[in-house]
Amino acid sequence: MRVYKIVDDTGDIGVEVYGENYKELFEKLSYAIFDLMVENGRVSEKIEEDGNLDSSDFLQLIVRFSNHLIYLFDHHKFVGKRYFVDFTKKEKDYSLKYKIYGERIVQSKHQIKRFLKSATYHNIDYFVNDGKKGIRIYFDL
Amino acid sequence: MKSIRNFLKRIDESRMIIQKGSLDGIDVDCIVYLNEELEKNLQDDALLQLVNVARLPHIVKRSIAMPDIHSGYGFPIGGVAAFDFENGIISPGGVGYDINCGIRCLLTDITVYDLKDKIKDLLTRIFLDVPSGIGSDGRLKLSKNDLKRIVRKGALWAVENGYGFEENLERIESGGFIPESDFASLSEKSIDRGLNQQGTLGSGNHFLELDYVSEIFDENLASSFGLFKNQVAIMLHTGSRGFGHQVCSDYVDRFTSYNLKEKIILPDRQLVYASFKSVYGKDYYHAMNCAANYAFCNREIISFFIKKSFEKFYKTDKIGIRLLYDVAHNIAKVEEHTLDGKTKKLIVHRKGATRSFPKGHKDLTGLLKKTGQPVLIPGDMVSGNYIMVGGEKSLYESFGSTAHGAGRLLSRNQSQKVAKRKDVIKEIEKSGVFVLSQSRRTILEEIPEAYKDIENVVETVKNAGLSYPVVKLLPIGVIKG
Repeated sequence: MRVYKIVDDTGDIGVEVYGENYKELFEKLSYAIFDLMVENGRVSEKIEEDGNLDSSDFLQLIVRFSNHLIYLFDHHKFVGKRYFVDFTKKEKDYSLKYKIYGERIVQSKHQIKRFLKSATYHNIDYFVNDGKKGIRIYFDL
Repeated sequence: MKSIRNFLKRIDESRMIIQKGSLDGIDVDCIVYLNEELEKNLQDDALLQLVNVARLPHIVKRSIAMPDIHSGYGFPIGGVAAFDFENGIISPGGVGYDINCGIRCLLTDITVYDLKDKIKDLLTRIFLDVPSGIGSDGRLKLSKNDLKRIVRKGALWAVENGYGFEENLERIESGGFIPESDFASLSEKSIDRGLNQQGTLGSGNHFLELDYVSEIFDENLASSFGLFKNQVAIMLHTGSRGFGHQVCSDYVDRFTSYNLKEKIILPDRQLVYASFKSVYGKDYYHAMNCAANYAFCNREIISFFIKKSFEKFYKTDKIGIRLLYDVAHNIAKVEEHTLDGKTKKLIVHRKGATRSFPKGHKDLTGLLKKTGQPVLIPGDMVSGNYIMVGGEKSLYESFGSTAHGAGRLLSRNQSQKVAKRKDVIKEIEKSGVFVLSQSRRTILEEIPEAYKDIENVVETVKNAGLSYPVVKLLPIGVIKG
């Protein structure tokens, strides 16, 4: 089953992901971000990265989380393989805890496809389709 | 509902207008520089972005888009807007993610005939010496103190540390550094991302090209700039790398939090802004200038590597490599412009637009004060590039700005689909261009068909008097990031 769908943009690239719930939505978004950059099949689970993020705005949390994953890739050379996200909504506050298993990028092992440089608010959307939650987000290349 | 396109009227062969007052909330005109051919490819969403910019507070005179307009984030690519210095705003969306992405042109004493049989070997030498590609790290491992100095000194840091040349500084926009920068305005993440990427080309549409002068349009200016027929030149397109992206993301996030708190709703979240004189506005301006200085330094260091590659290859330092000019095309600057006969300080945003100051302008120095500022406009990797010169009219029409390139026509996905139908690399080589990249995908995404016709862009800005062609360059070797 396809985890995400690529959405066209003139200069850059976007994705749409769907999930049964928020947890699945963020886990699939994590997969999409790393899979857009590195061929997933060759990634092993050697180390883990974890942390938490929050916001009073759901779209801001999506962009913050996406940009954090891009930072892990660009600075820590980390690429994910397996993703766990716990999502909490309390009144007007959204927060998530993530744990990602993956490894550091090795040029000779990993096939790098493209580099997402930033997540943006451009045409960003959260929607519900056939009972599933969906996100559309675009990245600057 | 009436499409936004219906409000766009042609003024003359190179300009179109949406008049102020014709749409809700626009108190200034929207001007797009387009000839009839380019008008056919104008995207509605890019036009809407131009109109959204006109709705920003304290915008001065007009919202402008260059002929290479296409959809961006917040502002359209090719967008120019100026805001009042005293009461106006600054917007990360008006600068872009790759802060001070820009073009630099180096000249040599070599002719294309000297290079004919050596192009593959020379380009391979440069490819090995200049780190490029996705997530590429540089050979320079910087300390936090080095980074502190780079964001303050820009290209001067490269000169002081043996990676650049003093004579280059007066050939870089703003002398290669902008003084109003502040390390304290940077996040830990941006500092992290800045440490390992100096002296790297990067990926995406960034490139390094070996070109030759194929056509001369203005003999006098060409001679003043040191250009001659068949001369080999090098064009370099890169910016502030992950560092600049992190700065932009940080401040879009910070401004967004403020808007959420104050319940400010914008037509597009990427249009977030802050009053220039507020703490938020000042912090962004200082951080943006850190990234601008980082980019000036990056292009100077890469030029140093290129010079060394040529010298190693030819086993002599008599190649005559020198800098023609280095221009920013993603930046916001404080400049003085004349409005209704009065000199006013403005915050000029150029998002995919190039400064285009004419001869005599007070901010130009040395030879360039007599000639006007060189304007570097790249096309696709086969059609070639133009060296132009700033036009007098740009000061009255576009806050001293002109186009920055051909402008994208196809999405990356569409480009790949077109490219898969043929042997792209073979076709490019058939056109006399040898191409290298860390990623085949990048070449497929950057095929010539992905871009608008550079000739239309150049003709439009020339007819509008924004800048004038001096020479045309044709590529013979291309490194795509």
